[in-house]
Amino acid sequence: MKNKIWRQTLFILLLALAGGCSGGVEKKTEEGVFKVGLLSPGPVNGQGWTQIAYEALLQIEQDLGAQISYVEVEQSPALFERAFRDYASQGYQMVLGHGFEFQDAALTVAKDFPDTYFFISSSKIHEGNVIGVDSDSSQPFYLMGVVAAKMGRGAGLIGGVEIPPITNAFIGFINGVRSVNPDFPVSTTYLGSWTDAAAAKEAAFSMIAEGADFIIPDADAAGSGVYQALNETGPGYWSFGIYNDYTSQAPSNMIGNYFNDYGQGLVNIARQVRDGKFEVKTNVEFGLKDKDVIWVEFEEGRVTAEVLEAVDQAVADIVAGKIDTLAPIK
Amino acid sequence: MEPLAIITFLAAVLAATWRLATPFIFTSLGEVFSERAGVLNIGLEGVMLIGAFTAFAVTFFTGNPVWGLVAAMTGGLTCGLLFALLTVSLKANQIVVGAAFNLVGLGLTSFLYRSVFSGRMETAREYHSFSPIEIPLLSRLPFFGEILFRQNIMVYATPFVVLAGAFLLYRTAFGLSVRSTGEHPRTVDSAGLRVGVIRYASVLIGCALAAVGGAYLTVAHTNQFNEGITSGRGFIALAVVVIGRWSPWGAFFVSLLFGFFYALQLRLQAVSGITIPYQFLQALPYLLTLVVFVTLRKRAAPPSALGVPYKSS
Repeated sequence: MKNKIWRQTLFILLLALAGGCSGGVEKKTEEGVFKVGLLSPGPVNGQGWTQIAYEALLQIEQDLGAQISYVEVEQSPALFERAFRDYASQGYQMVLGHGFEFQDAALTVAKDFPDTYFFISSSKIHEGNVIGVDSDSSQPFYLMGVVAAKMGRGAGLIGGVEIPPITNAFIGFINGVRSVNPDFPVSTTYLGSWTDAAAAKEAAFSMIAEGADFIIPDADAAGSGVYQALNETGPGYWSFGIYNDYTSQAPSNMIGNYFNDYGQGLVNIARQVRDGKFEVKTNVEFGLKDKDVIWVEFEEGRVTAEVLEAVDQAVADIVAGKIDTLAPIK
Repeated sequence: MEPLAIITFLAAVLAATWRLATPFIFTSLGEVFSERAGVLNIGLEGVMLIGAFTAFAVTFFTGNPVWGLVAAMTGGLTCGLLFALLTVSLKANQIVVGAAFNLVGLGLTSFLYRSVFSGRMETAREYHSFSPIEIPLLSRLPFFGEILFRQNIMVYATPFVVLAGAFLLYRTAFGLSVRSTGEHPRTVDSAGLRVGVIRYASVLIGCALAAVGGAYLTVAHTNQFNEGITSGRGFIALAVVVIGRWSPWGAFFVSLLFGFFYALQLRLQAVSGITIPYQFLQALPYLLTLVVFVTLRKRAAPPSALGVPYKSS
């Protein structure tokens, strides 16, 4: 019922908007102003995926003197197109749709605005001025897999929703595990939610009961529930912070943190766009090769020199292209 | 699976069931009162969120989850007062007001969370939530003891709260007037009782308990607040009330059933070798709701004055 009323309201609002726009909006471009817009798929302070793009946007404002704007659009494809169109028609040179789900809307809108670059996070698209930007999380997860298989008894992965950015990270993890010990048990659970920390916590307890001692979330804000489960269970159960430093949530359980300064990567792209140096050759994909974008830091004294050596070797091999972290799991 | 593994598996699922059912139990018990008096509050999700946030914020600053819980109840009562004012006194459409509560609950708590806590979590003083308590003898029982009797106080409280609720509804004069108000408000009116007062009281009970259900998520089950942390539990609680046929114990057991499915699907996903798509398991409670609606349609009649504002002639 709530949905129905909400939809009807939205529908009326959209109609009103369509009426308002049909008068013909003039394309306003203020010369010399570099404008960057963001479509965020959730609250910008979500302490995870959504916050990354927001912080990047702030950094772009600060470092590049750009005029910035963001809009939070949740689960409403009709709004996606409108938001893209709004930004592009206001002369934004760069608009970021922060999630794979924005790709189709961008493709629809992009044809009408050849002067705007539409960047889509978690996408591998490369079509005209729609360019996918992705961090290959399978690479750092591969490293975590190596560590887990060398130190632990079993691993559990807890994902928010079963979508490519998450499944790919998990494939990387499993490949990392298999490179050390093909028989090391790894189980996977999806919550079907990015906010349900209670479910994440229960999922972690389940995995602990099944004998896993490495539990790694990739579930945005819900992931904190996993750290709480480990914190309650006590030492001897391990995890990694994902995208940010989560050490404070389970100080005695963190092996390390996977940092993804996607923001730095976006700033690099934005700088190229501003200076007119961005060349569209292919989609953008950050990996361990981009040392200022993706890296893993270990807590002091939690891993042995031997494990660190194996990790360093894996990093070198991945950067050199000798290891395919996304190799299909048999 | 080995028999031993099955027992361990079941015990763990049951423990998780109880924990996951707790927010449903509090919230649906409250809604039983509200609906029994004829007021349908579909704004439970919003009230739960307000309870969840209030409890979190107060616990964050006082370091004591008891104060958090008290604050959540106060927040819930405030919501209830507003809801009753709009739907009982002003006779506004209950569905519309409920929908508004859901939107306001999400918007307000997100706004406050961002303004108060954004970037502050790292400097938090130690956050004390209700931690698990072992029951001396019972927790020694093999398999089930260790897992079932090592819960936090809010989980243990559920059967007692439901017992109190059932007593209040079926064994007291107040309960009788609540039930009559939902069935036939005019009779209540002609018996010299004030329909409005009874409905206010029922809505207040409903919202206070919904807020406690929300608070459970932030001060007992986990120790954090996320925007939208209730994740649809308020809507599930509405379904629980219907399937539980508007009775406190019905709500209790149906909550446990929903909790069981939730726990089972999380658990089955983690077990290797079982290849049921998790989406199917996640959809099971909703399928169950549909089945119950269809099969019990005749027997499970809602209170006849449900959703109808009372106008005294």
